Amino acid sequence: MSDLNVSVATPERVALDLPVAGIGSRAIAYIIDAGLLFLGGLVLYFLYSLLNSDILKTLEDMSGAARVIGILVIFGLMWIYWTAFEVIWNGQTLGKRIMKIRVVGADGSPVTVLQSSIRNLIRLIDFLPTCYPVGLITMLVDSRHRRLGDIAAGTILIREHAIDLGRYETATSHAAQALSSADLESVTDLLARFDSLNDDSRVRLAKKYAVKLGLAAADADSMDATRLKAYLETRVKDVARG
Amino acid sequence: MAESIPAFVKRRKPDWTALETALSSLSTRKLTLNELQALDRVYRVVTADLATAQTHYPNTDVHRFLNQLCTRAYGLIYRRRPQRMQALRDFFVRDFPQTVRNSTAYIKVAAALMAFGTLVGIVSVALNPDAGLYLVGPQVQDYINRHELWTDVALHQQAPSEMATKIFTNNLRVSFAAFAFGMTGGIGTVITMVFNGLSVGAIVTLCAQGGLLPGILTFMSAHGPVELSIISIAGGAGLMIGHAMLVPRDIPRGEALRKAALDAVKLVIGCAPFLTCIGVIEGFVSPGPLFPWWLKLPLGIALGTGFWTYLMKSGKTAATAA
Repeated sequence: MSDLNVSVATPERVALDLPVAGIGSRAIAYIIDAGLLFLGGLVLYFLYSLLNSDILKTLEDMSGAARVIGILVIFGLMWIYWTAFEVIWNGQTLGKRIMKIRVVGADGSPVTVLQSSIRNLIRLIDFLPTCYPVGLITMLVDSRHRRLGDIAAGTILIREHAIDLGRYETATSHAAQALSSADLESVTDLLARFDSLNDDSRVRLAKKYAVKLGLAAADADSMDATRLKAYLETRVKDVARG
Repeated sequence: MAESIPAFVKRRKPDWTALETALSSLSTRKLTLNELQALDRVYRVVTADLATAQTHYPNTDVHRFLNQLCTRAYGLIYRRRPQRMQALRDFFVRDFPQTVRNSTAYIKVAAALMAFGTLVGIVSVALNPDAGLYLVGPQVQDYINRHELWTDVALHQQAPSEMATKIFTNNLRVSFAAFAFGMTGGIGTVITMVFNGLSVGAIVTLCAQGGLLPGILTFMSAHGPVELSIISIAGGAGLMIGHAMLVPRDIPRGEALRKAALDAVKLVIGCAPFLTCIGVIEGFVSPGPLFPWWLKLPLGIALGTGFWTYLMKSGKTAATAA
């Protein structure tokens, strides 16, 4: 876990590492959410335009109080979007879910209604004067990438990984003995991602581990990517059968 | 020598799956006593597995997996009691007034700053009427020169409530700025409060010089008491944050700031509905001759007294009992 982490001490005397979400993924999550809100507003506008042919004139004719109420309703609706999603989906909005990040309390506990309300109210200040410069600067300065709303509410954003333990289950005891746990991690990882890597890197890595698993260096040099992969797979997964 | 990762995963996986299942059902329904005891056991075992993974398999997927699983379990098991609508009621009956009572010192300072600004505004405009030009917008100045109260004029014009909107958003802006500028160590709050007082003082004095004193006082009487109180409370919230930043006393600065911010946000959230209500009064009751002065003045006094009685009394018994 090389990236920024926050450590939490538990009563079970084991430290939990919370991987803090970066500014990039937060920004993308915000853009997704803002886009959805914008689309929602557009749909409402068109639905309303079916009933009212001249919306601009209606807006101009509105009394001051009606305008104030209108502005409050719009801000309220947006605030409800953020807060309701964060409370119901345990710290995630649609954008956050897509970006695999989550709002949690400073100790990793699920975000509460009060915390979510506070961080989304202070969103207004973070947004000032426009497009979040206040929030961005705070996030850059803060050691845990929190914006003002997070600091006031006592929340942080963490990354979530999708982890498949399946690759360990196919590994054999033979491979496990021949390789250190770090190497075994790398080999199974390499095999899982083999098709998505470029040819140079995968051949270089595959040769390295093939040699560690007992293949003669000269033989390894003569193999291409497919054969190296097949070799590693047999060695790591299938030795137990023999 | 520790066992290999695959052997570790193979041996321990059933417990991890059991914990995952228990956590999923924990977030959707109430567990039976047996399930709860099983959860307790399996959670402790899995945290031990995490410790093992931290020592022997750092930075592997097993480590990440267990870390994530334990974080989820820790959060669900040690979560605070859920809040419901009751919490909202409690907030306005108890939390908000109590916080106001605990922060009276800050609120007084904020009010004093505004009073100081008002005084400066009155004195400077009285000594030099031209100063009013800088303190009050030229538009308002125009009206006063024509011996008309802009709040009355506004009613006869095409967009009568344009003015009310402006006034309301101005109050919202001032209250919000007073609070938010607490983050500048309170300096911004001080400036906001003094300047707000300054413009109030200048406007009132200019009106008096234009022979509009009864008009402006009548205009302010209905909403003024509550509104100035709310602005003072918002200013108090800002000062509280600023004070915590500058003088954290015997706790770390960040912690002091977090504590102060929590109270300050309570003050601001608590004020919001009252600010909205008073904005409605300011928009509809205060301007123009729609309501006579002998209705506006008692209304203002009653609202002000009611507001402060609520703040000083509500939730007091609960506080002593707690």
